Amino acid sequence: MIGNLRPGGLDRYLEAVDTSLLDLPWRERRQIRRDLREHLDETGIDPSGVDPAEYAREIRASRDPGAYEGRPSGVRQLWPTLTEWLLNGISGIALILSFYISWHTIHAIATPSGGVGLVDAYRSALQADLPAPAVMGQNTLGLVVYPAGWLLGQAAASRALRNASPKRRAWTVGVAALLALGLLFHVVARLLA
Amino acid sequence: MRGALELAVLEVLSQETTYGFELLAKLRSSGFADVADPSVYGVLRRLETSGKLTSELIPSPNGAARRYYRLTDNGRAALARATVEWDALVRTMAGIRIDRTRD
Repeated sequence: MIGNLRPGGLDRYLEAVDTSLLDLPWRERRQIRRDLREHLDETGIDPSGVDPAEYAREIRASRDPGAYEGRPSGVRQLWPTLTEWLLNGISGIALILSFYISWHTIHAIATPSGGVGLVDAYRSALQADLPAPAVMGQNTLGLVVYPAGWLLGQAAASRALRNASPKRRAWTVGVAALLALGLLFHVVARLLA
Repeated sequence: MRGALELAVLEVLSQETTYGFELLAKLRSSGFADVADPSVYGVLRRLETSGKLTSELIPSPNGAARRYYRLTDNGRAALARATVEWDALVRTMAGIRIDRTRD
């Protein structure tokens, strides 16, 4: 036991530090957790009186300026925390949908009797599986909504989560996860119908 | 104050190889009474990342293994530069204070 920390308290504290560093690569974060645990074990300091964000801020400031910084998702991360499970789940769903739409698009182009162009095939795939909303009365403009929305969502989530409190981060991820799951169920229900 | 803390850490490590807790205690007893552990930890990480010090984990008979920090040649050069800059700053500040006293 370190200082006044109860058993398991250090793990929760390290997780709180980690959630402030979600935008860093998971390998680096794993090393950071290991280093900080070792440091706290060695010094015997009770960190419970120190805001975890303070360690996170100092650790961030100590990084090599050229080190990678990126969005909190994708294959670079594994899922050591619940938040990351959810984030990666959302990314995974988006990836599955992308593959699914791509498959339909390629299928439409490759069909001998089809003879449709790429845009028409893509539109057809979207309209069949995920009806693209009409923008200014044109469905074609709506075709950009899904990929653009996904990219903007990734960028916005990354920015919002970077400096957010753990509570706000949990809410953001929770709502996003529910929306993504709702979308997935919608697609699956259409496929099974 | 971050620059001052970095200089202080370099100075302590130029005198002896030491580990985190001892370094923190030394800084606090030397006048950095309110220095927090995250700040010192951050400085140590930054200095190590920039190659100004190296560290080695050595088992301790009294409990958890201790990470000992040692200044590199790069660190000694940085300390020499920072000391010159610090002395210049102190002289500048002293000059300003004398001017203010005269006014």
